[in-house]
Amino acid sequence: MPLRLQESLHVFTGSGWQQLPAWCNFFFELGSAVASTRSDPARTIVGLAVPTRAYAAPFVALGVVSTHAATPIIAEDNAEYFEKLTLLPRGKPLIYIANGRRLKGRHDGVEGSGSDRILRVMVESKESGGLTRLIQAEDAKSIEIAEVDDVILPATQRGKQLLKNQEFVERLLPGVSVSDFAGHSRMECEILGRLNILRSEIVDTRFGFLGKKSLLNEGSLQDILRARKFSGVASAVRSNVHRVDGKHPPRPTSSTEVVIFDGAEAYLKARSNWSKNNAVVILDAVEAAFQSGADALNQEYTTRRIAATTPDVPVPPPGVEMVAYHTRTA
Amino acid sequence: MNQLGLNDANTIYGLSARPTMARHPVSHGGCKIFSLALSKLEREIGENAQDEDWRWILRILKIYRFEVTAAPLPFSDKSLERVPIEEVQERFARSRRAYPQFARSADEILKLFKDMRKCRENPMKDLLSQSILKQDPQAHIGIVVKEVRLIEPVEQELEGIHSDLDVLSHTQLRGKKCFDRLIIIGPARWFSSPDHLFRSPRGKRLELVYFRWLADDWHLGPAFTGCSAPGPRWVEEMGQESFAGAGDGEFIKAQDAVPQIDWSHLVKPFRGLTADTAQENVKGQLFLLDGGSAVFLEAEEDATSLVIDLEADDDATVKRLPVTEIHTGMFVLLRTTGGGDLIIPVADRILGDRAIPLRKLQAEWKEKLRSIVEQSTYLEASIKLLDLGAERANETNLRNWISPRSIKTQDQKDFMAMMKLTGLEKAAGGIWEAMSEIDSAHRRAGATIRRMLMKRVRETDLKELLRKGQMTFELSDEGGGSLTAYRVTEIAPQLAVVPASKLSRIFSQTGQQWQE
Repeated sequence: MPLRLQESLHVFTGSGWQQLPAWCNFFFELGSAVASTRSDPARTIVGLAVPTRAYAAPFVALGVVSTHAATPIIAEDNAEYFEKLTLLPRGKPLIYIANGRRLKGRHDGVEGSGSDRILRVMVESKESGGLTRLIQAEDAKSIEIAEVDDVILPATQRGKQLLKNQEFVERLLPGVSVSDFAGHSRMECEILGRLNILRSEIVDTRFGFLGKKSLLNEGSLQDILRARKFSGVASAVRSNVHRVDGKHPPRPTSSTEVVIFDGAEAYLKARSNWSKNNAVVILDAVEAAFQSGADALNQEYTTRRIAATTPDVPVPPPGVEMVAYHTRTA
Repeated sequence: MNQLGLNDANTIYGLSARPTMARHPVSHGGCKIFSLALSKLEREIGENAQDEDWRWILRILKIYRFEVTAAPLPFSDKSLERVPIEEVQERFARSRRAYPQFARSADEILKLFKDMRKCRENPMKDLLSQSILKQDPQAHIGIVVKEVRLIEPVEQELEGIHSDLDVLSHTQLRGKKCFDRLIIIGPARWFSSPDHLFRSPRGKRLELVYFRWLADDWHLGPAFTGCSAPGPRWVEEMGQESFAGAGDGEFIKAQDAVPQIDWSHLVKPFRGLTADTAQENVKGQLFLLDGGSAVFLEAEEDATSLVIDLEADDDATVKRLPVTEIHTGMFVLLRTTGGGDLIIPVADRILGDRAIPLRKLQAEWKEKLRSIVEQSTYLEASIKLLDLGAERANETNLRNWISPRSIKTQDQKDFMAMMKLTGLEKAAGGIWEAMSEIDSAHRRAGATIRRMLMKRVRETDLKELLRKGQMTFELSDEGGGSLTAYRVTEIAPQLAVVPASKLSRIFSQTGQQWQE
């Protein structure tokens, strides 16, 4: 039974807590529907003309991330994964997960041989003594490969708490092991748009569930989206947010299935780099490039649509125009 | 695109769900006769409309016809008087003499025009003041006028009639401000591109007030081919019909009542100037600006211009953009007086005492190069430069290097070749360093101006900029004077070759008057 956000989630608007507007649920369900389809061999494209772009992209992303939240991240068995870790170059940045915290680390070689091998993960700087954790094969899943080129280890490190708003995350992701969810990274979707606005919607807007005695389990969409742009190095991530620069439009991370173009400018400037992803294109009716964005989408619909199939997507609320179709993956 | 909270967004979704529209066509015999007679005269004149006097007359009369139908102002209102009546009469007299076959029609339209200019009526004003604005004293009402320059006169005209009334342009209806009723002055067609007024309405009820003889066949269409869900589902009501009586089947298409931009005519005065060989000519992009002015910005490769883009991230609101990427709705920033680029005086201030000798040196080597080129051709001089070790010498680059607007070459080999050609080889190293100093000062000046502007923009209530389409930002702290931001309303479809001295200088769309 999919979660219906509107029935349970509340938002703090300055004048108090209010029930989430119904249209937010549409974007959430749309994200979920798009995330449920693979982008190969046919991509799903959904174009939306909305009265305002506000909060549309974050709720689509919420649908995408929550759909895959229960899927285990490390599918390989321990031995296989451990083997992969041992083959990494010495010095490779790693994340060490223990006691509900994520610590920055660095590959420091392998001790022993055969089934007795132990992976050395340094978690504090050499100058301070170079505290090192010794990881056996059965604990391989406590190590994650960091997606950065280099890492500076602190003199002492407590690590980053996996979950800040545990009850909030549990309410939004029923049936999901939140420690697994918050402990490991997998890029589910990427949003291209305006950073300052997206930060305000994803990080700064307060959401909450009515709890016992009217208390609220409070959190932000960032607790679920875990957007890399708004997280520290050691945080497990599930999405990312990019500013679109005309000269260097962003490119997808390898595992991303879904891209959300938050505005016509983002779509027009960056779409050629995201031709293998399922895409949700949000066009705000009041933005200057609205018509150019709609024209570009119509052009793609006319020339590249696979007429035989139609994506299964929810019905939008009044005032929202939608087109949904499949194209061959470029 | 303003940032909206969830509450604001919810209000806007509510307004888009099932908006209501009412139409209030109005009639006025004199206005209708004048309007139709003007169309008739234009048809009669036919190709002779290319004659300078006829072109001028038609443009002035069409602007008047448009403006009296675009604002609830008395037809005699001073703000609708673009030129003195004597000048109109003089042009008519000349045309009458040159084209006696049109004398009768010309006399007729001139009389109708003079009658209109004396008439204190306007049925749109009466409908608003006697009926629409009286109906709902508590409602928050917005009156939308197409021409930004008419906002203030309309505000004055309607002052005191309703306690909660805003007069605004449709470009202001893109944020969180919403109204109980939006009264749109003019047919829907006038607000169809862009169409956000209807696709994302900022009012519970939209009411169109327009002259009955303006045929308005526009309806909001789907945004997407293959739309699986429609957008706003408009409920249309026929509003109050006032001052009925026309309806005899004679119409002007709504789109034909909006004065068209005659790009070739706007560019024409510049073509004559480019013949002067002493002038440096460059590619320019013509922009029309809010308030009836226009400007050419340099459109050569890599040319950029300072803009305010209110749709960009906060830290990118003020930026330099390639001129080809500027679009309507952005604000171009130009020196308030004097034209040209503000970078030069600010850079000179950074250079301090060094500015005068450095600029002199810059002018001297360019002058030597220019005189050598004038003795042969750009092509021959480019070939000589290639022989002397230049890597990128060609006619276009050489024109650029000679221009006072360029400081030095990207590649030092090109610069050294020019020094050899001009006999300045021995001093070449010093001149290169001097030019690098100027270049560095220009870069610092650019950053300084942007920083100052960002600060000013943050400190300023940008509602006025949105409302009036232009605003001046004082940068006197940096010795740079001031910059004025102008909203771009139209962009010429083609580039034109114009004298470099005319770039970034504001001129009037109607009279080609330079603002010095």
